[in-house]
Amino acid sequence: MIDDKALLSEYLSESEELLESLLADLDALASTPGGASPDTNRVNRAFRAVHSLKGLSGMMGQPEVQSLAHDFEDILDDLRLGLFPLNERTSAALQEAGAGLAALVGGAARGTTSEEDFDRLRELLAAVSIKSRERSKRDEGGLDSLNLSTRERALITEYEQHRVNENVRAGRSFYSIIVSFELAKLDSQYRSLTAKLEGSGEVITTLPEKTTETNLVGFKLVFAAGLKEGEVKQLVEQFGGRVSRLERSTWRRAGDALRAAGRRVPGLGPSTRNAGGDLTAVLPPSFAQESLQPLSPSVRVDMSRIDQLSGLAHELSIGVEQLTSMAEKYLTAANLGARERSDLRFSARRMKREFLELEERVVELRMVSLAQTFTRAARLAGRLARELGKSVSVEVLGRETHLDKVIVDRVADSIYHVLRNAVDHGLEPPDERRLAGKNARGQIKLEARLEGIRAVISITDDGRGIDAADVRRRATEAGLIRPDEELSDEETLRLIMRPGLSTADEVSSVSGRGVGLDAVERTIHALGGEVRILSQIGKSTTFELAVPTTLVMISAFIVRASGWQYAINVAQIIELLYLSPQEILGRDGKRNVQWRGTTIPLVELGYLLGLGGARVLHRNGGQPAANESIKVPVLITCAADRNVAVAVEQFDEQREIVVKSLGSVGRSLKGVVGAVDLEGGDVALVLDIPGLLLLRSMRL
Amino acid sequence: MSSLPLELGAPQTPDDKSEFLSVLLFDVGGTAYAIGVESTEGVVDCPRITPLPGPPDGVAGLTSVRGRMTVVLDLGARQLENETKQRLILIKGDAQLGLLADRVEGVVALEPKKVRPVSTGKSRNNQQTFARTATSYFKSGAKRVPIIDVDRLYEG
Repeated sequence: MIDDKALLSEYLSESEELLESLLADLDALASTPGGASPDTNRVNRAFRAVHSLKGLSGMMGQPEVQSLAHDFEDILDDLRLGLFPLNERTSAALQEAGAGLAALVGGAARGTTSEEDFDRLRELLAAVSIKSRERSKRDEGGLDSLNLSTRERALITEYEQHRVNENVRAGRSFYSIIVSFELAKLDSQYRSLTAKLEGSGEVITTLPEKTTETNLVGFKLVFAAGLKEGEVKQLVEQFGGRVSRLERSTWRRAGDALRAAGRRVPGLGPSTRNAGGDLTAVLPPSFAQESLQPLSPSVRVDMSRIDQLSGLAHELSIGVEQLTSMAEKYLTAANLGARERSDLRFSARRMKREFLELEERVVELRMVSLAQTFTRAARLAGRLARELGKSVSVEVLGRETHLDKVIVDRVADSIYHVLRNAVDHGLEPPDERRLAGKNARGQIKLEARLEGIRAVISITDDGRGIDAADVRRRATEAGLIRPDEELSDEETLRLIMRPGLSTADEVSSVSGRGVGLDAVERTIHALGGEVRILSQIGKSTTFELAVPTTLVMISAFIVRASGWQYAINVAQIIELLYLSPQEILGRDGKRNVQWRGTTIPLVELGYLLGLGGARVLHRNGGQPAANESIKVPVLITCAADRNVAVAVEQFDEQREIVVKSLGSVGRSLKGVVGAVDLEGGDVALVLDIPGLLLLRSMRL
Repeated sequence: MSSLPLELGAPQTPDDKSEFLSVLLFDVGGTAYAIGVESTEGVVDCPRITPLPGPPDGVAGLTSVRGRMTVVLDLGARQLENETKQRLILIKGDAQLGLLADRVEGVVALEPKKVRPVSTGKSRNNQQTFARTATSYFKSGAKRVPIIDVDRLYEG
C-alpha cells in the first residue's frame, strides 16, 4: 500500500498509462485473423508495457502487482517467441488477464485488494501460462462434456475451459441458466444474479442468448456448482431464469458418482468474458467496480502542449504589459473625463493582473513533486550501502516540493550522483564509525525546501566530512590555485567540483569523487542554479543544489549586434532576410525597406540597444557601394501592429534556450525578458523587440 | 591589505555578533564604502559584463555568477575606467544584485555607537551616492564611510 498521496497519484497515473497501452494492444491482437501470426510490434509493445509496470510496481513497493506483472511478462515473452499460437482463446485469455491486472492495480496501491483477488488473477495467469506451454496439446475434455453449440464453444476462453476442467475434476454439476433483463436494469440485475450464484458455485461464463422481446437482453450463464437442479432453480427464481443441466448424459453420471464419493474442491472465483456484441464487458463484480473507473483523476498531457500554452501565455502577458503601458501613456493625452480615465485604468490593470495569473497557472501545470525522485534516490542509497558493506538510513524531507518537470528530470541524476558520493565516500565503514563514537549505521538526509524563487535540495551525510586543508593542498598540487591564493572554506570546498581533483585516495568504481561532480555543477548551472558545499570534518557533509522552481524554455534565434550576442524568441520573428545595402532607403533614423509590397521602417538592433547605431550600414564608410556583395541580415518583426525590419550584424543559429530570470530588479527592465548563459561564460540577453522599440519611442 | 585604519573596530569573534555590526569594507574609484556582511553572499571576480539596454542609473549591466544572472551595480561615477573594477560583491536576496568594487578591504566589526544615521540635511553636502544608497555611515579618521543600505539598492 502506498500511503503518500502524491506518490500514489503519480504511480496510478503512470501505471494507468501503461495498462491502457497494454489493453489497447491486447485488444488489437485479439482481432488478429485466425491462423495469422500476431503483429510483432504490438506484442513487443505489450511486453514492454508489462515490463515497465513490473519495474514501476517493484519500485513503489507493490510486490503482488510486481509478481503478477512478472508472470504476465513471461506469457507475453512466450508469445513473442512464438511458443504458442495466438487464437481466439489465447487472445481472449490475454485480454482477460490484462483487464484483471488493470482492475487490481488501483486497489493494490490503496491496500483494498484482497488476497483472493490476487489469487484469482494469479490462477488466471497460471492457466494461460500452462496453456501457452502445452500449446497444441490442449485438453478440451471438459468442454466436450457440455452441451454447447459450436458457436458457443468458440466463445469459451482458454481460461474458462480450464475452469470447466477444474470443475469437472471437482465433480461439480454444470447448469445453463437463461435469463433476460431489461437493458436499463441489466447491470444491477446481472450483478445481483451472479452475486447470488457465486455464493454457492462458480459462474464460468456468460454467453449471449437470443430473445424475442426487443427491450430485453438475454444471456446464458454457464454455472458450475455442487447443487441439485432444483436448488439452482430456487436460486434464480426471482430473476426468472430457466435452468437446465448442461452435461451430456455420460458425463453427468460420472460427475454424480464423484460427488457421491464426497470429493469437493473449494470453488474459485468467476471469470470474465465479453460475450459477443450484446453485452458490454461483463466483469465479475469485484473487478467491475474498480476497472470501470479511471485509476486516477489526472489527465496526462504531452509536455510540448503545455510548452505551447505557456509560450502563448507568456507572449500574451508581454503584449498586455505593452498595451497597459500604452494605455497609461495615452490616458493623459486623450480628452477623457475622470470617470472614463479611471475605468480604463482599472480595466487595463485588471487585465494585466489576470494575464499574469494565467501565465503563472500555466507554469504551475508543468510542476511535479520531487516525491518519486526522492523515493528512488533513497532506495538507491540503501542498495548501494549494502553493496559496499555499509548500513544507512535515509531521512527524506520536503518530498512535496514542486518543481518544473524538466528541472526534476534534469536534477535527478545530480541528486543520485551526490548521493552515491555520500554513501561511498562520505560515510565511513561501520568499524571506523564505531571507533569515532558514531552509530554504525550512517545517516543521510535528503531534503528539499523553498528559498524564495528557488528550491534547495540538500543531501547531508553524517560521515567523515571534507578536509578543506586537504582539498587546498591537492588543488595547489594540481595547479588549480596559487599557493598564496586567499579562499574561504566554502570556496575551497567548491574546488572539489573542478575536473581532475579527487579527495578520495582510492577512487572506487562506484564514484570517483571529483570525476562527475563537475558535471553536476554544469547541469545545475545550466538550469540557472548553483551548488553549495558545507562540511564539518568528522561530522558531516552537505551538498546543496539550488535550482529555480520554474523554467521558461523558448525556441530562440541568436543574433549578433555591436559585438554582443542576443537571443530573440522565434515567435516574435516573422521572417529572416538578407538585404543588399542598396535596398535600404533613407538616412539614419529614418530608414526603410520594401517588404511584401509595402514600405516598412528599418532600425538597427545596435541603435535600439543604445550601443551605437548604424554600424552595420556604415561598414563601407557611410555610402553603400553598389558593387558591394555584403548583405545585411535583417529580421522582420511586428510591434504595435506594424511590421518593422531590424538589422543585425550576424545571424547565428536557432536553438532551444532556458530563459533565466534577471531577478526582481531586472524584471523591471524594458525590452529584456531574461538572459541565457553562453558557452564562453558570457550571457546573451533575451530580447523583447517590441518592448525595445517602445523603449526607444520609435515612431512607427 | 587594508588602506583604512581597522583599529576603530573591535576584533571580530563569534560572540560579537549581537553587539557589533560586521561590515565589508570596499573601495570604488578611490571612495570607501561599507556594507553589512549579513546582506552579502560572497565576493567573486567579476566576469565580463553584458550591457543592458536603457539601464537605470547605477546599473552597469548583467553577468552570470555560478549560473545565476546578476545585475551589476556600480556605485562610482559612470563612464569611469571599467577595466580596473574587478571584484563583485554578491547581495543576498531575489533581486540578484552584485556591487562592483575595485578592491575589497576586509571585514570590520563596528560598535553600534559608531554607526550614525545619514541625515537628509547633511547628505546634500556629501557625495551624491551618500544619500542614494546609504542610510548610515561611520567615521574612519576624518573620512565618512557610507554603509550601503540594501533596500535602497533595490529601489534602483
